[in-house]
Amino acid sequence: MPKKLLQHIPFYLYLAVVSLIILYPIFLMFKISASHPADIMKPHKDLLWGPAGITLEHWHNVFTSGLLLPSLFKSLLVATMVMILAILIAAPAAYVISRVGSPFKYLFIISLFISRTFPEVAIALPVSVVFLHWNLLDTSFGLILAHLIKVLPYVGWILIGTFEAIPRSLEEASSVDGASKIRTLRKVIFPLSLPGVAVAAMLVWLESWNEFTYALYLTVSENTLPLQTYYYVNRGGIFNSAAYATIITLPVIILTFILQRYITSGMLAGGVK
Amino acid sequence: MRFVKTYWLEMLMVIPLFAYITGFTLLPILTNVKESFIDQRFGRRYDILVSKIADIKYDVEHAPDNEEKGAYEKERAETALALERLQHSPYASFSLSNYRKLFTDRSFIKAIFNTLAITLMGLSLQLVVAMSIALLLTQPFHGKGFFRTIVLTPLGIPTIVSATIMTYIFDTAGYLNEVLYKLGLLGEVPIDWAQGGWLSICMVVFADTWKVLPLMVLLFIAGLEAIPQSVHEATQIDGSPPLYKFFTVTLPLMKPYITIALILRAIDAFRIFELPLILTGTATTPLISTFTYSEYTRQNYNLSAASGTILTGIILIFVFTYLYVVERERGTNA
Repeated sequence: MPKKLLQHIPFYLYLAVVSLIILYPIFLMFKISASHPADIMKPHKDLLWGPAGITLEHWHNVFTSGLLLPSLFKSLLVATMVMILAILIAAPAAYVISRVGSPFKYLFIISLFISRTFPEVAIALPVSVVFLHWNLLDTSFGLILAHLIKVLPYVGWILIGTFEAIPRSLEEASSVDGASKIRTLRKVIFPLSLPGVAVAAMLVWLESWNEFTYALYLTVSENTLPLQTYYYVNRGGIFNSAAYATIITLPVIILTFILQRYITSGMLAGGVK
Repeated sequence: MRFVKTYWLEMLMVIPLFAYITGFTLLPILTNVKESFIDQRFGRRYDILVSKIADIKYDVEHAPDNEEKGAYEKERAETALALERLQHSPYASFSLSNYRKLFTDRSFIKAIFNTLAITLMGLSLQLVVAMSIALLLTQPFHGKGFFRTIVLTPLGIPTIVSATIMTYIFDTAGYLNEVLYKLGLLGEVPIDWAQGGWLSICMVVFADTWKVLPLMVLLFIAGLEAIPQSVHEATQIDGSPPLYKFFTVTLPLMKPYITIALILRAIDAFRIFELPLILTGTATTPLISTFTYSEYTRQNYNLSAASGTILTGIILIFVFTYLYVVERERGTNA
């Protein structure tokens, strides 16, 4: 038994080191957002918590600065609108693609995949030039249009899998019973696909909530939360950036916790197929 | 016509998605390619003249009296003439000058090198670490579920947040230098991780690995679990040592998963943008993507377009390799 235990020491040591490397940075974010400046700014800081203890000073500053609410509102508005529009545009198309014959289906899926791999810096440049002429820079509507570029292929891909899981025999039964195409869609397909669509909708919301590149290209002063964080990082305001980073992370952690089992299978389906 | 009559609903359902992708993805990419062949000097002057004409037009409409209006009209005619002349100048034609300029720009050469280095180092590191963790997570041991949850945590951290946290760690007065100091590996002089060169490349590789590890681990776990139980039993009966078994049995069976994971990761690694932008900035450690952005911020739109087009080209090569590999796998499986 002792020999076996000894053999296992490197194994558990590896687990411990990996866990520490993964968790410590996240701890650091919470720590900085709630530490006294005296503990963080000194030359040799504490790796765990400084002697000065916890303070909510930075959080208080962030909430009273007047900069949080506009960017929070813009992020929420854009993410929610992107979610609704993406589902409205992608779900019907994904349903049809899931039902068409093999060569077309493959073509559709590949074109979705390719359009997702284009570099954002190449797409964002012409888009920002056009949006300048359309007076869409700095607006929520412009950012919604840009985020749709990013999420549509992704959500289409996921939803094709969702609709493929619904057996065709159900539709055939419904049409034998005399229901029209639209009635079948409304009464059979729609309710059955609802859970899958809900998962896809939450993933889209997260993508838009976290999005940075298009926001950077298309914003002059009306920052979203990620841009506001970037602004503080650039200015070296580490307490503000830590607090903002925490604010961005919280809904993400909550949603991924809800989605955990779906995310793994959904993303894998996207990756391996 | 008959096709339209039967399938009008289906067409109505598919068209919005593909119209959007055509208008907002394909068209911008093609515009980018077109702009990349227009001389930067022409592009800049053209933009200035066009916006000047728009300004004057506004002035004409809001001029207080006829005299001033006449002056603006005259200015508008002059600017329009200048625009006309510019469009007929030798600059206006198809030009490779942007590409010539990029490949003689040391900063862009550095960007290509850095992008390649980050992709290669990142992929090898991620392959080894993710494979080792996936192997551990397919063995039974105490606290496995707990460890799995920990490994998957970065999946729930947005990239912008992970980049922000990494700035705390890699700052000159950051936590990595402090850990090294406490371990006695570093004197009073801290390491400047963002100074450029290999240090900065290592920094971006670490940050990227931290972020994408969960996805790689999940892919490899799926691959390991797809290996039939009978294979494990057979090697157990043979009594082959674990390391031998790994290299002769597990690794060959995992090859399709590894290939696909590596190509997909390479596509993302070439496009990596937020992490290097936030961690190193664009000056000391340019990547192709951040170089494209920095030319955009200098309003060198045509140069930025050329750099973006090169990036698109590289990525398309990987995409077609991926499609080729997937197609071949489908062929062998069928």
